[in-house]
Amino acid sequence: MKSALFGIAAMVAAAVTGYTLQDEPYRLRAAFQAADQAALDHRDSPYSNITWVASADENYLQLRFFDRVEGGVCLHPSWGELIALAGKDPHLAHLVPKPEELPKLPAGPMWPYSWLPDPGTVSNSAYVRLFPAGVLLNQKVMAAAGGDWRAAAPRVMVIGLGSGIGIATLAHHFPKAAITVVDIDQAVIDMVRDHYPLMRWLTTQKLADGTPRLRFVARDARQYLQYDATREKPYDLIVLDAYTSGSTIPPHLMTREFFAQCAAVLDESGMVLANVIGSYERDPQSPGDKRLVTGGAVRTFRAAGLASVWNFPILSSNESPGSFNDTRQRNNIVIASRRKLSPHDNVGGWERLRGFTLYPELPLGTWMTDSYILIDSEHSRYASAWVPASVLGATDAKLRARMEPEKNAPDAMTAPRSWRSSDRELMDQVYTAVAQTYLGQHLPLPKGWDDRGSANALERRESDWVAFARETFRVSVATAKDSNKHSGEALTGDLPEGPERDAMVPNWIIPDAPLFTDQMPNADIYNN
Amino acid sequence: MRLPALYLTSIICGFCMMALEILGGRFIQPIFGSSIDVWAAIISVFILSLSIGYVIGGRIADRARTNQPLGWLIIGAGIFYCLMPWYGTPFMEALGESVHTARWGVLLAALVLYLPPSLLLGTVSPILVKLVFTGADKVGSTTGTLYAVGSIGNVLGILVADYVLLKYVGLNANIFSMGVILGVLGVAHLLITIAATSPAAAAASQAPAAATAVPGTTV
Repeated sequence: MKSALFGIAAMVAAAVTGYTLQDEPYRLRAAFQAADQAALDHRDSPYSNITWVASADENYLQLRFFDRVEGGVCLHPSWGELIALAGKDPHLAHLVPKPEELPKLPAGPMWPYSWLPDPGTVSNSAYVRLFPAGVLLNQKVMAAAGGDWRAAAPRVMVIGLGSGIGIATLAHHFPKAAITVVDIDQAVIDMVRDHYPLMRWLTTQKLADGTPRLRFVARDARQYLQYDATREKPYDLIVLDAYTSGSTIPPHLMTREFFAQCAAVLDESGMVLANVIGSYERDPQSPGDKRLVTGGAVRTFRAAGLASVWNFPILSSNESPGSFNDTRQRNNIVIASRRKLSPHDNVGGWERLRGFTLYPELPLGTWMTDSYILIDSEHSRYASAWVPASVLGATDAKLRARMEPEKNAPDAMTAPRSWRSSDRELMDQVYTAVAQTYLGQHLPLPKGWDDRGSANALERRESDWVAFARETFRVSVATAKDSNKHSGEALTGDLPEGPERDAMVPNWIIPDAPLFTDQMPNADIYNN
Repeated sequence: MRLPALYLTSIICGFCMMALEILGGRFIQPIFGSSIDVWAAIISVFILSLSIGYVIGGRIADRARTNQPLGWLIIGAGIFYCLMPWYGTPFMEALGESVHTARWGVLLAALVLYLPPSLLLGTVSPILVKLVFTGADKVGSTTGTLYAVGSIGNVLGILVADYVLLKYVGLNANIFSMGVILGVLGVAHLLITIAATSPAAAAASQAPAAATAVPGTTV
C-alpha cells in the first residue's frame, strides 16, 4: 500500500512538471532573429511541425519546419500594394482579383499584431529568385511567345511547396504559366492555402484554355511522376525543391531513376531546375562533405539522360563573381536538359537571362529594411540579431554618416548596401539607444544586445528588397556564365565511365562526385 | 565453445534482421514513396513477423533435441535474402497502379517482401533459449545474456547499415551478402550438432556433465 502511494505520488509529480513546464512547439526570437517576431499559426503534421513566423521589422513571413526556415516571403510589397500598383501598370493585371474574390482574412488566435499578413510575390529567400531562369532558357517556350516572357505559357511542375514563394515568383513573371505543385504533406498545403491569400486565389484562377493557374496535389513526388504526370505530359519545367528538415533532400528524389522519370514527362526542350544545397570544395571547418551533394546531383542528372547541366550558384550579398568561394555551402540552382544549355549553344537563352529584370513593374527605394547588427570580426560572424534602424530615431542618420561604406568588388551586388564601424564610442551609442527603446517599451532585448559578448564591430545594412532580388539574379547569372567552372562538364567531366574517364578525373572540380541510384540513394548521407 | 557459438548466431541473426529493416525502407521508396505510411508498414511487418516467429519457434524448440531445425530455419531466411534482389523490385512493379497508390499498398508489399525472411529469423530466439539452457539455476542469466547479445546484433545491424553499408554498397548487394552469411551460418549449424540439455538431465547430472555431446561431434 505504501509503495503504491509512493508510485502514484512520483507519477503525479512527473505529470504536473512535464505538463506545466513543457516546451513551446516553436521558438520565437531564436538566435539571430529579430525581436518583433510573431507566430501566425502552428500545426503538427506526420512529417514535420510547421509554423508561420512573421517579423514586421525584417519584412518576412517565414514557413518554418521544426523551427528551421524553409522559405520566406516579403510582407511588403503586400498583395494589396501590388493591386494598387496595377492601376498604373497593366503588366500587373494578372495579380488583381475581382472584388468578390478578395478573401476575408480571419484573425488567428496566436497573432499578437493588429493586422494580418497579406504577402505579395517578392521573395525573402534568395535562391527562389532564380526560378524564372528555367523558363527563360527554354528556347521552344520562348519562341512560341515571340521572345516576350510575359507571353510565355510554360507548363510547370513544382515538387516541394514550402512557403509558396517559388510559385508566387513564377506566377508573377509568367501570367500564362500552368503550375502544378506536388507536396507529400497535406498540412503544408493547408498552411499555405490558409495564410497566403494570393496563393489561395491563384488556385481559383483559370487560363484561357481552362487549365488552372495553380493546383496543389498532396502526393509523394515519385508516385505522382510515375502515374499522373505521364498522363499530363509534356511539362516544360520541373522544379525540384523538396527538402526534409535539416537541408536534406529525400534520397529517393535524387536518383538516376527518379531523374529519368522527370525526363520522361518533360518536353524535348524542357528542363529540370533543382535547388541543391552544397559547395564546390570541401570546407575544412565543416564536418560534412556537401560538395558530394552538388557533384552528385550534376552527375546523376547527366546519367539520367538530361545530358546538359548548368549550375547557378546563389551568391550572398558580400560575394562577387570574381570572389566566388568554392568552399562555402550555398543554395545552387542546377538546371538540366536534353538540349544544350551553354552560353555558346543557347545564345538566345543567355541573352534573355542577362537582359532580365526581376519584378520590373515594382519601384525601387520603396520597400526597405534598414537595420543594425553586431559583428564578431575575429570569427567573421554575426554576434547579434538585426535591430531596425528606426529604433535609433534621429541618431541613425548621424551614425550612418560616420560609418564606412563597405567596399565590395566592382562586380558585386549593389544591394543590399552596408556600412561598418569598429569605433567603440559609436557602438556605445547604438547599445544605449537599443536598450532605451526596447526596455522603455518593456520588450526583451534582442539576442546579442544584452551584453558586449564577442562583438567588436557594427554593421548597418540597407536592404531594398526589389533591388536585392534583381541583384541576386544578375550576379548569379554573371557568375554562372563561366563554363570552365559551372558547366556539368567542368564539374563532373564529360566522358562515360571507363579508363578514359579515370585518366581525366583530376581535371574536374568534383572528380569523385557520386552517382545516386535507387540502389545507392545517398543524397542524404553525404549531407552529414 | 557452445555458448559463444549460440551467442554469435543470435548476433548475426539480429544484425541481418534490423539491417533489412533499414535497407528495406529505401528498397521500397522508389515505388511507394517516403510517406509516413511506408515506415509504418515496414515497422509493423517486422514486429508482426517477430510475433509469429516467436510462436512458431517456441513450438519447434519444444520438440527440438539438437540445433538441426535451427540450421534449416536460418538457411530458409538466407534463401529469401539471396533471392530478394531478383524478385523484389519486379514484384513491387507488377503490383500495378491501383496498389501503388492505395494507402494499404505498401503494407501488402512489405508483407510479401519482408514477412517471410524476418519471420524465419524470429523463430531463432526461442530455439536458442532452449539450446543455451543448462540448468534451472542459470535460466535467468543465460537467457538474459542471449537476449542482450541478440539486441546488440540488432543495434549493430541498424548502425552499420546506416553508417557503412548504405554508403559503400548498393542495396541489392547488401541484402544478397547478408543472405550468403545467413546461409553459411545455417550450414554450420547443420554440420556442427549442439544437443539441447533436457531439464531432467540437467537436474540429474550436476554441473560438470551439463553439456552432453552427441557422439561423433565436437563443440
